[in-house]
Amino acid sequence: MKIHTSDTIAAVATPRGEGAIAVVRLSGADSVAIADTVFRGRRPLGTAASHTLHHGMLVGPEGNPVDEVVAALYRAPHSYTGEDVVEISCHGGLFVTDAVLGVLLGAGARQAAPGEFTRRAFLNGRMDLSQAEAVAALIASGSSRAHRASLDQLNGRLAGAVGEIRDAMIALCALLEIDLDFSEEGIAVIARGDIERKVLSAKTRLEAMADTFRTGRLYRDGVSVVIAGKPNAGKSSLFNALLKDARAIVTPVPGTTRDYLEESITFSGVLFRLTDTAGLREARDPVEQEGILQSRKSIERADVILLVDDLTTSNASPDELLSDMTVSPHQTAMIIRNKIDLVPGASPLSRAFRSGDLEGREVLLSAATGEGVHLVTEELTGLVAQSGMDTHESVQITGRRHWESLTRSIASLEAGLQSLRQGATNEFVAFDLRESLTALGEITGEVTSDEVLNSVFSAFCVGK
Amino acid sequence: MNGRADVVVVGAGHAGIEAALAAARMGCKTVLLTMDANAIGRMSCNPAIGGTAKGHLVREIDALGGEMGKIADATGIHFRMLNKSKGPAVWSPRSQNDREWYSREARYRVIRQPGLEVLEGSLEGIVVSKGVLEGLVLSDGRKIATASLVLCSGTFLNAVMHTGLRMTEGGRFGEPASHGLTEQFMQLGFRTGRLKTGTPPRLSLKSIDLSETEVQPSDRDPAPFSYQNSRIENRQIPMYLTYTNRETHEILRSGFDRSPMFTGRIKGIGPRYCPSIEDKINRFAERDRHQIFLEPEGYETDIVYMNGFSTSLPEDVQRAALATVPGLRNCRMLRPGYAVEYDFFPPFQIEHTLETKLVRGLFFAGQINGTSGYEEAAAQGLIAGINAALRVQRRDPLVLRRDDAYIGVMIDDLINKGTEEPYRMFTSRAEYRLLLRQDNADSRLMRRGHALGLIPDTALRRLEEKERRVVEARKYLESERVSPGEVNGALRSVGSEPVTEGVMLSQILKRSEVTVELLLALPRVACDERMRILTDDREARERVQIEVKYDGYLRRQEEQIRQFAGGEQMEIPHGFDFLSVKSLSTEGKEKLQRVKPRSLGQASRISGVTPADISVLMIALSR
Repeated sequence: MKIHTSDTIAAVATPRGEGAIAVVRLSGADSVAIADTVFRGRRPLGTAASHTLHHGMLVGPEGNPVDEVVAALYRAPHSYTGEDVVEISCHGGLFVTDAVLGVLLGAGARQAAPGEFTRRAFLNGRMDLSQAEAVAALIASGSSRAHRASLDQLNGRLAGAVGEIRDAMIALCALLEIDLDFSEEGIAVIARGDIERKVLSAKTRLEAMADTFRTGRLYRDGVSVVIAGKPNAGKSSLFNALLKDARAIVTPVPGTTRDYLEESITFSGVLFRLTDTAGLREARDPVEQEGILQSRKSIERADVILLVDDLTTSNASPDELLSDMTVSPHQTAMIIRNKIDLVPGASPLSRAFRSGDLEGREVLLSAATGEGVHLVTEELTGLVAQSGMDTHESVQITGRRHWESLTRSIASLEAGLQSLRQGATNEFVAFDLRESLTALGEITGEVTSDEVLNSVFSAFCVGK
Repeated sequence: MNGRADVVVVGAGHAGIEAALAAARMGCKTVLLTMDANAIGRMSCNPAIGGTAKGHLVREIDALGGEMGKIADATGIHFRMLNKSKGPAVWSPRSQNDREWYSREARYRVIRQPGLEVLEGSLEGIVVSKGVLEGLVLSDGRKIATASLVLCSGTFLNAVMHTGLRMTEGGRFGEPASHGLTEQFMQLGFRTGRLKTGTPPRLSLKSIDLSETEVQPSDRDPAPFSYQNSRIENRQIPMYLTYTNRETHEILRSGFDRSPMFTGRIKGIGPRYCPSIEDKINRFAERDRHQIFLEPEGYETDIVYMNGFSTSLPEDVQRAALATVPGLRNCRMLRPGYAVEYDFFPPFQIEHTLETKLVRGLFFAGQINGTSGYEEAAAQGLIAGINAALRVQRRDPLVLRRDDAYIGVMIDDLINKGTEEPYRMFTSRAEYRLLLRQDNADSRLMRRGHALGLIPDTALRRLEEKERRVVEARKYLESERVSPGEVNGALRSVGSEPVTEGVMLSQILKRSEVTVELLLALPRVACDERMRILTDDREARERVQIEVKYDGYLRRQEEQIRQFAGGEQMEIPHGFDFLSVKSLSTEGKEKLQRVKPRSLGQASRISGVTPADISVLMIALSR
């Protein structure tokens, strides 16, 4: 029952393909020794200091030169993985890198499994959970924006920002506990109004952080746009118009799009994932019912809902159109009034609408002729700009796990506010707050345990 | 006597009494060894039982079949339910007791117990063979063979008392210390540490001007600690409250150069939550007063305990400082306060049964494990005594979990978090506080006490009847609708918003201003047998009210417990070598190897073990 982290692993650390240079990384207790058996430099790596570069020749089993390389030496624990690491920069190209890796594997290293370097870094305490996840995101990030969000997380900015809010909450818990555990001490405790203000403040800050998830996720996963509406309103036509592609089968028979289709497109450098849904109507056919269920689900998950209505048969108000649909606060709804080509006098137009608390845009267009479709793409790009994808200030939440923890934390704080307003006594408020703290702790993987009591003792004179 | 016993208990303080009584009642031939049979059950610090969180412990001890609550009920002279203005989870019973009477009552119960022999003497050493306890040797050379020994030596191991720069050997005023034991245990491989605790001066009641103090009366209808008592009959007397002031603090500060704490004489670490008065004015210089409770020590005594004024400053400084406190200007100090320093064994060395990991059959309970307080000691004594007996009888041990009882929280904290200062119970230590209430300790623990033979059938039957009433009443409240006409009058009478349509009684009871008593006043409710029966059953009535009012919170807490139980079920095999897991942090490895947790859940609670360590362990265990 041992973890096999004592062996030394090797892998090509740069992307596969042609390049000026490539890096092959070695990590593990024997990495220096293994490198020394195949590296011929001015002196052996084993005698060199950490964080030094060494020029030399990499040789094969018979002493045959393989490539001229630079070896970077990082000794444990001050390396990426926390183990001894040697990074060999060799010439780029599939053949050379494979040969270099082959030599190292031949000298006793094991081919690393995907993510194994990072896993070792995590296991060796070189990074916390959120940082480890950031590394995964960093590697996977396709755009420079995603790259920066991941880098921030890696630097512990997320942990720092969460930690700040958490400290404030722990201090508040301490006040509540004083009221509960030290009621005989005659210590002036916090007023209800102050508790409520502090809870509200923590909640507001967490909400602001959670809100960045949307934009944060937009960087990484793209914006999800779902086209919904009554059968035959022209959803698939719009889908096709937007894709400028004919993949969806467009027919005048209601209920043809049984499944839903998804495509990715790029407007102004931002990725959009476009989904066409089955018509929203009461269906008896089981296959179609399943499709409708799917559409409802994809609508729930969407960032943007394009609600298509047929202008030739309907002039329903936004209130009517949105009546059987729930648009959550983090979603954007856009009403598309289609088929202007069939309505005399109608022309492409984009205007604001309002329905209850919901504000949005309403676009008149013809999916069939393409008239006005550009208004939709303009609105979509505009939305992204509005949603703060270009802000450089706050911490970005990019991981779903973090967002879920934040959401639970916020829900518990909301419960705490309810408890306060209903006049519940402090142990119930403390219960809500602790639940919230536990959820927050999940982000950085910390546990709260004794922190509250420690906070009590450091700030108050208690105990008779 | 060269003899044999099933269980030997060393020390007859609050831990020792519980251990000895439980073992004897479970049918074991038990010996209680004490240096002085007159000191059995002595209250060496304040003459009080219970208080916040400690009251919970006493109720749990009682539900398991312990003695503390019953002795406190019998000898209480002042009862208060603390935190009554807050929610039911933090209500905590507390009593002031007649100090002499308490000790007499405890001694009487011990002496009268069949199967329990009290032996005067002191422990010289224990006999251990291959890590298993075989017996003990007394200082007069007598030997006793035994398979289980519970050591409850309190503050007596290498004890030193300090008043100012004057040092006296001894564990308690006028009682000698115990030497040589710590050294023997160190040879066996035990690690030791040093702790400090203190006690305030004792005053003469007749020299106090009570008119300058605030009177604190006892509760009018005091609730007993014991589930087996229905009421308190003793005459109740009041306590008194006064405060220090700037002048007091000035005088105390002038003695700091002769303080054993500030001059570094005392090396042991004292509690942060029960600090000495010099600690309070030193750490919290901005406060210009601290409260002092003046607590008469009994009906027929002139001695007053000065709660809140624990000190080890020189006697002349104590005297001068007292004279500045309202009510105490002309008071006579009968005995100065002092600090005691003593050895303890850091509790990572014990199991959840309180048996030591190094010596099978040897149990530690009370201050020796680094706790402070009678209640904490008694709770451990009871668990240790029960497990000592179960070991002799080769039965499964009793382990209480964090979701079972405050006792479980305490023992788990001791083992996993260690103690750098004397450990005291707080309600905030119990993460499942809403469910671990003092009112339901019987439902949580009494069946276990009964199975052990420590709770009589009658008490269990009473519990079952109460629980049945609670279930029936809840069913009624959760199924019965009342019309606006029936209920609005009552609602208005307590300033609660009237209803406009028929509504479930349980919904009305959830309102903070509505009580079950208010509902019982409605004619329809009062006519129902299931509800009428609550009129004369306070415990059942309170339980119904709590369960209905806080239903939502209680459910959420139950959900948390389900998650907690998941972690406890991820077992770590016995004898698992944590040192072999290379990727654990150095500190994590050391702490894990030291505590040897039995589940992943427990591992995660050990201080110094990081979440990364837990992930590593999880991976290591899943291979």
